[in-house]
Amino acid sequence: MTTGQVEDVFPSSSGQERMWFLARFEPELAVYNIGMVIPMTARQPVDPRRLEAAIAQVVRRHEVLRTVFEFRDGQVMQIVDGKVPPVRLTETDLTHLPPDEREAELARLAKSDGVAPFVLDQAPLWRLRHVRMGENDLRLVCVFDHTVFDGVSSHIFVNELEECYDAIGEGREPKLGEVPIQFADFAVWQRGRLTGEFVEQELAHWREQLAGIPADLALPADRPRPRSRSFRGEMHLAAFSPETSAGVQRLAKDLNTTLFTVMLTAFTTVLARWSGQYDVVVGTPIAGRLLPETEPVIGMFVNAVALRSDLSGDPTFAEATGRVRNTVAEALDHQELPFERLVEALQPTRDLSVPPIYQVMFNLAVDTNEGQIANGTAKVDVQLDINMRDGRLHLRLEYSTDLFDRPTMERFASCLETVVEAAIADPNTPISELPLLSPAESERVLALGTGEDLEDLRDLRGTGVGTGGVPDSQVTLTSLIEAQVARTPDAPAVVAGDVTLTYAELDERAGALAHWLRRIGVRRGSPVAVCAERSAELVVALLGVLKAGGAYVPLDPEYPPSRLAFMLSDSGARVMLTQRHLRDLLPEGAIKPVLLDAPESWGPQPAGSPPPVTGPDDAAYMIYTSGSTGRPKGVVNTHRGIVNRLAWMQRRFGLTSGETVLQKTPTSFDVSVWEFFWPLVTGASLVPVRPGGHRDPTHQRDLIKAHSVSTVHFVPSMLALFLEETGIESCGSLKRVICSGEELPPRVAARFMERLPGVELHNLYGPTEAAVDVTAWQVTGENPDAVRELHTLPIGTPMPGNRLHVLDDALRPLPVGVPGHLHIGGIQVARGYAGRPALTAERFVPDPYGPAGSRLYATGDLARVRADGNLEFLGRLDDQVKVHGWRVELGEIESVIAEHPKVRRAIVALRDDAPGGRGLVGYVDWSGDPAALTAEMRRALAKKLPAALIPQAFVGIDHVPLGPSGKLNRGALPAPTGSGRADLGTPYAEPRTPLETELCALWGELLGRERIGVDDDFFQLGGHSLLAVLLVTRYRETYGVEMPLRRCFEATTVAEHALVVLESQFDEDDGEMEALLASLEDPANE
Amino acid sequence: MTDSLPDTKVVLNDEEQYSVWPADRENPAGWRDEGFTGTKDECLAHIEQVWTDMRPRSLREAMQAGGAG
Repeated sequence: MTTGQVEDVFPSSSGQERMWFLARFEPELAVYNIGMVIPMTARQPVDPRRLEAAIAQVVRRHEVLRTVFEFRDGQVMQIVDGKVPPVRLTETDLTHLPPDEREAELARLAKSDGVAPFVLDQAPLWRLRHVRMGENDLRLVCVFDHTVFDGVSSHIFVNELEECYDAIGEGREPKLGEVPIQFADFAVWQRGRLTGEFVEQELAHWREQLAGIPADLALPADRPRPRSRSFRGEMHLAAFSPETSAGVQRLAKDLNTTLFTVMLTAFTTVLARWSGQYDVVVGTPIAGRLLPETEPVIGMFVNAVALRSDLSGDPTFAEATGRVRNTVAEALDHQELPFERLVEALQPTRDLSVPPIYQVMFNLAVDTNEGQIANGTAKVDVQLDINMRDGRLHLRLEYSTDLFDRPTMERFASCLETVVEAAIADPNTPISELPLLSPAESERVLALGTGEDLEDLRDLRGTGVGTGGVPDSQVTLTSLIEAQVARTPDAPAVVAGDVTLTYAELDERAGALAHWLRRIGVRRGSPVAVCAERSAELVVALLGVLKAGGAYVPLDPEYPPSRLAFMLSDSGARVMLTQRHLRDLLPEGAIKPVLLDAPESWGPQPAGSPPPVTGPDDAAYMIYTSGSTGRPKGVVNTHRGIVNRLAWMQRRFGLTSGETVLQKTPTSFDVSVWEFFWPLVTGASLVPVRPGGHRDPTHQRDLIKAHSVSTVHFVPSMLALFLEETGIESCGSLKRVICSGEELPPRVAARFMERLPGVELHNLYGPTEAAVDVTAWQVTGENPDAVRELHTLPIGTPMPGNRLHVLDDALRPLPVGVPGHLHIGGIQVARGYAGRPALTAERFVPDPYGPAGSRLYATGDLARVRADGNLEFLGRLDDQVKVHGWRVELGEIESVIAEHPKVRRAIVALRDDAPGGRGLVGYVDWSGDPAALTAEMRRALAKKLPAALIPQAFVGIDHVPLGPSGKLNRGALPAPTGSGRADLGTPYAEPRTPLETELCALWGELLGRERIGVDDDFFQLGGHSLLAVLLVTRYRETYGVEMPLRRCFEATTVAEHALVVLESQFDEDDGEMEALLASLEDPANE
Repeated sequence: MTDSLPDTKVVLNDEEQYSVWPADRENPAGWRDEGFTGTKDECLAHIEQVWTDMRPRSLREAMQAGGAG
């Protein structure tokens, strides 16, 4: 290589090119700075001038340390300065500080040097500072840009520096071999090598190796991914115990493999267990110095390879290690392909929010990490560096602070150690059975999910509601109500329209009904169907059934007759209570209707109530639930369970005689159980909304005002509607609103705070299989905007007597923050599904954590525990869908859409009939211009969601289809409009040029539509990110132009694409271009 | 996949409530083997046959005795 010239120009290596682009992309961040502090321990006192001379010698030896980068002729070039500039170290003296403050100040200085980015066309691409720590203690802080340096380079640098320093001191030539090649020589050689058949073969290998990898490992994070990565990060350091450190080395030996492979297997196992994905891709840096000549050269040789391990099928740890070992061996055989070439080939749809190909890295550092400077960045989501020194395995976790908080990484490190310990103990353990938590941590996380001790409920005796969950209590729902009747016989119990029943009247009527029911055959435990509209009679009916000793089976009059007929026959009820106008709804047959509105037909009854026959373990009610599949099933709940639930509510809210609860929930939805009975066990009164009134916010508002209602329940969908009702601020009696039945979106909670300040909002969670609700959380927040910003609202902590555990498939507790299957144990767990032994046995499972013989209800819900013990509901286990390689939670997309100010409500569905093929469709209750829906939604979502998660089509809806219980009915969503134009809301604009005509045809072909207009929006037509890639490919083939994919998201109409194509074709011939643009702007000129 | 392996057993508690449990794992306290093992589906089918009275045993006995609770 010539050295006489002032500068030499070489092409950059492909790795340097990638760094150069990244630096352009994130000019403020020094993501790829490499920093270290060299202690110079053996050479103190260090002479700073001699140190500078030594550094100058190293810089003379390695051209790359005299290199900068410039963009010339469309290429990133390395410019090597022929002369060695004098080296001047920045000098800092810390001896004026007290000795104990110097180290901290050194660390601060090192970090500040480490976080300052380099400008790649300004030499030098390194900065050095010597820091005087004491009379005989001079340290050297070095920071290099990664374009000219790598991990191996740092050893070369330190060794050469020390040798040169010694040689100068001894007045001799340094004993260093000639540098055989310079980095630029390698870059040129590499460019030649990475062409033709070789690179095609390598690409083919990796394409096959990485086909169908998950788009995102999606490690459970503390925050959702931002739209664009900030690259900010922190690091967490940890070390295994000496015993575990020795054990893992022994394990590697026993398994006939390396520490690297064993630790990578353990790391991959924890990643799989945390994320629930068993197809895991981990990146690892490799030295990239396959040629012996490169070994003593400073430069950026390092490359990264993707290690894809398949841990599916629950292999043992030893088997998993074998799989990982094969993966590693194969990757090393194909390590030459630069990672950036792989990214270009595999993931041209570069999503800026997710690190491409792999999101986590693993690295075995050969030597100490100690001197490394943390510079506040993270290259990927999580990078684990391990290093064995002083008999201990040291871990360094560098993590993205976009996603993670430190405690989460501490838990991750602790899981890794626990898994490693278990693998050492028995490498033949299946990976699903390797514990993630130590016994102590397991206890702690189980305790987080355990409601208060039941003993605490004893003091409820004084408050009117009886002894709640106390196991030996003989209290039943019926006895509690009867005790309340005795306390407040003349207080109003039910106020329905112009009918008011006092407690005594209610008791008397229900008693008479109970006598009649006994007469016609109702016995202890008999199911009794109740099909009635909301009314005073309905309340009499429910209490009458309980007094007779039966369990009521609510049949919603709004249900289709066939469903009612099914429930009636399935429940085994032989008696049905109904109203005259509803008799025809139900099938004629063996069941005799008792008419609630014709008590004269019951025959004369003795006064009072029949003697009680039920105890706390008797069934109180049986409510049908419909899962997503299969026929509805009747859930049998006990007195003990519902009494516990009511006792919690009374202790929490202290309802008083004189207060009023709105009864608006249909009986078929178990919320109605507390709406009926909480007031009746506390002396308060209940006011039923009129039939159908549970869907009518105006009626609800009027009723709340008319009856000074203090407590109302809403399903969040209905609350959202109520909050837009006029005049609700005058509902001054309202103390609290209870939400349950669906996820409560932060936006609705924020709106609540705006519309009903001073009213409490409580978010409750529970399945019908556990006596209505088992957790509660009160919405709190500084202000509505702060709440609106939240990603999700928790469902709270367990009510007393309940345990909620987030478990893995083997029913073991999962770490805080890791999603799993939510199980419920404790006193409120239902008896089971009536007449469905197999289904009951499947969903009510042995409880390893409760009293002997107890059962857990497997909810089918996905949840996680926060560090503060609050639970987060994450959706149904079977609601997760995969779209274009992404694991998608529909609810998450819905909440992002709902953040838009013009959106009242949003639903996202995965449909086969979406335009452009199977994909997501957004249903939006939209207050903006209907024609602008798609365009505005796309624009707003593009800022918040990865492109693949943006629905392919948007459909405006003016109401959300709700089922009878007020919950969303997905099945009733309309099909997105087909291939016509009706869904577009924009007029057809004819193509004006031959190119536009061609593009319209091409789009039509790709999108499966006829008659595309030039103003039509690609995404509105059903285009998605993968179709965009196809489109760009077609442009390349047809017009020979390279349209950057990103442009597809900026320019979205045929007319705009035509311009981009023209621009690219005409290159930079401005005059011609301008003329052309002018002619296009006014087509009449042509 | 796992459903096709005979890796499940039928268990019951003192209340004679039935459920299923991995055949190779120790039962949680208060649960005993019923005797049947097979695939999970086979176990559930077996339970569908044998669990004819779904009331807990103590309730059943109390009801037979005619007392409350």
